[in-house]
Amino acid sequence: MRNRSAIASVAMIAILGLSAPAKATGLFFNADLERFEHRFARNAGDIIALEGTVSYGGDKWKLLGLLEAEYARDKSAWENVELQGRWSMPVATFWDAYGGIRHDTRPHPARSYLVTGLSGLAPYFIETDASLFVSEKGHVSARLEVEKDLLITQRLVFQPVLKVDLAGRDDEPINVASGFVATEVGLRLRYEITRDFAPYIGVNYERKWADSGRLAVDHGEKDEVVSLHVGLKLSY
Amino acid sequence: MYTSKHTRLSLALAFFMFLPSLAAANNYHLTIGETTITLSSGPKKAMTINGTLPAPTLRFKEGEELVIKVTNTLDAVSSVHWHGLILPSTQDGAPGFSYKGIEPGETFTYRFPAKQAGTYWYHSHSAMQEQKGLYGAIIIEPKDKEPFHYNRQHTVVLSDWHDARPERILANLKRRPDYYNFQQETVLDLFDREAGESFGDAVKERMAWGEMRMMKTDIADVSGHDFLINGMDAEQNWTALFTPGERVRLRLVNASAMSFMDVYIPGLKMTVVQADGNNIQPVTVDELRIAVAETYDVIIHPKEDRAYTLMAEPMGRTGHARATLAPRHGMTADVPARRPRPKLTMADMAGHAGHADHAAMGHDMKEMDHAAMGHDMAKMDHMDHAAMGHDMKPMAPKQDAFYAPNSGLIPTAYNGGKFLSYSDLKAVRPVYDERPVDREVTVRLTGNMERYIWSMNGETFDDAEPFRFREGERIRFTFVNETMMTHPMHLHGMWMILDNGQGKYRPAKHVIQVAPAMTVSAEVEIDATGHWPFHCHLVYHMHSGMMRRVIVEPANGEVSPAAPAPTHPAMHHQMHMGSGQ
Repeated sequence: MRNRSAIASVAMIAILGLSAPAKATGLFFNADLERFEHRFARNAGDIIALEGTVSYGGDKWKLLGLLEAEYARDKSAWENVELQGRWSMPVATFWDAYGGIRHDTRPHPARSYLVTGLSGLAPYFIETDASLFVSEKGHVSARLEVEKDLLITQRLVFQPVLKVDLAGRDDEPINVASGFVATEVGLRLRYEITRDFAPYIGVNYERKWADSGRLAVDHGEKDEVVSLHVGLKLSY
Repeated sequence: MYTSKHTRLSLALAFFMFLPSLAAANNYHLTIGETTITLSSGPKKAMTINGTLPAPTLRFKEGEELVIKVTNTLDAVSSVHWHGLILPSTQDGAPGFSYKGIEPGETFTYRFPAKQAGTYWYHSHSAMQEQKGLYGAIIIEPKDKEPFHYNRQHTVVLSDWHDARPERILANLKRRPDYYNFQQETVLDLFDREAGESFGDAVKERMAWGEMRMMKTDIADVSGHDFLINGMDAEQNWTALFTPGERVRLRLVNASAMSFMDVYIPGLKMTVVQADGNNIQPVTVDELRIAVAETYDVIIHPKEDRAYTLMAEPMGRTGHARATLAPRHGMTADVPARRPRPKLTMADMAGHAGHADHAAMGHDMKEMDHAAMGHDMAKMDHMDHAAMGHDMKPMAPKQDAFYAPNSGLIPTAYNGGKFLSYSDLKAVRPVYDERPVDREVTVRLTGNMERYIWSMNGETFDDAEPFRFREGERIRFTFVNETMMTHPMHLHGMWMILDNGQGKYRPAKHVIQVAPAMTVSAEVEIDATGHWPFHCHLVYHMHSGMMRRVIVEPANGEVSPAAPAPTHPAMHHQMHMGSGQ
């Protein structure tokens, strides 16, 4: 199952890539490592977290690869690894619609999803990404991520972040119960030495709700984690 | 440096002694290549012509046949475009139009008659290479005596050097349009308000801009430039000599890729005698704003035995260029402090048709009514809305018919004196007679700042059908700027007669700057067949789509083969949009 979905992801990304016009004018490659951080938690082990995007495309379409991963230092193991391949197109002045595939190799068992959603800039310069997922089991889930840059000075940026996960049905093997699954609220303060090199510090509050929280606790995880983090934001 | 007396003498010598080889005087061989140049901040790898930045100044005489060989030693296709010159489209030098570009290792020989006189310039029209140094001045001496006098002349080429590759700059703008904006409003600014503005007002105003996802500090898209005068930065201080009492002609060329420059010389007035190569009735000013790709010729009259500083500040005040005019080398004058940066106002937003829902913003801010009026407002008589008062700050008394009333961009002279306006430009001898216009074409200047896509009538160059005209037509273009940026619009091959209220003395220009929320018209006598580029001269706007192909069919009715059929459905749409009101 896992192999099949991985092959499907690769195949889809390859097809999307090949369908791109051969003429490469006006097409750009960008890579962003939004988060590369060490999290120190009082009630849980330290985590190294990664969140990055690579994109290729232009004004009319973009091919995106997204990675989110968490590595538990005490267990010397990856806890969450999520990969997405998206084909994204503009649908309004500030908004892109996208479709693609998501594949989580962790937690076990692996899950694959189809994904669609909207990303863009909401009024007041709020970066928004709203996704809808349908898993290989036919379960529907959704996620909303918003973040906003508040400039303290031209280079010191305060960034509140909110991430909400919802699920339509239980998927116990991966600690998901229907309803509010988890929320994450983060406050980060970064210093842009350059636009592409910005160390930051921050605080994160993660909460798993209701039955999702109980499932996590049953599996030896915490349903509530407060962490401090130190990280680096890189881009090209 | 060089005096017109010497030129006349040498031309006279050439004429009498070397009559058979006169053609050699108008013969240039230019080699495009890479050279390391030195600025105060260190060595830089530049693209150059004949190894210099700027490229050598080319001198011709009106009426002669020009022969210019250009050899490309770069690894990439290059080109040279003769900016502002009236010539056959095959010699214009914009690849992809009536000309192919110069492949690596190849030589192209341009041949065309010099039909005009004045100050012009030349630059690469390929892959944003002008940002890396491929530009220089052209001087064409007139056949007839000029209607002004000077004892000495200097060419002053302004430019904006950037260390980054142009492709990288564009990629950065595409992924993060504020990448180069280090003058944004911060949270701390809320505590550092103008007198009389409450914290609540400041927050409300911030919210109003935030709701539109617009930045009032977005004057120039790119920062991080070294501003140069004749290839030298402020510290290197290019110096030109004069003898006190002389009249000195300065041929100002703005070869910048992105920067409008405000030029002034503390202690001296400048008498503007030429704009875009055409003589204008002299107007004496303290300061002028030169748009990207414009040229102005000014005469200064320094009487004292002292040095003067020539300042050129970009409109966004992200730095400055400086040169010295002095009786002897080694002398300098005070360098004025950089002036505060302007901020856009809601008046500059008023053309933003894509945000017609601004009315909903309300927020008891008077200027919102104004924004809701969309670009119609810009077509109203300017005096009408001067009375509307739509800035929160006390109104400055300054007005300029080429800026929206209360625009944040209205320039003020350094000493409070006279700042040149387009309204002041009055031709000495009109290039064209007045006659009725055959057709009106509206050109809305449009864009999506967040995606860094720029367009004309909402369509980028790749998507849009060409503008198609017939030789002999008189077209009236009306530019309606619906963006918050100022766009220097440039038509190749034909003059644009700027509608500035000067009747038959309206000036003919090759670049017309259109400020935010403004409507500006210009008539064009369609007298040059072929395919011509028509674009915003901000290099990253042009390369993000703010360009159109203009096809001029010959009067005898033959359709040029390279173009699509005129009955294309999108063409109808185009012309409908372009039919004005």
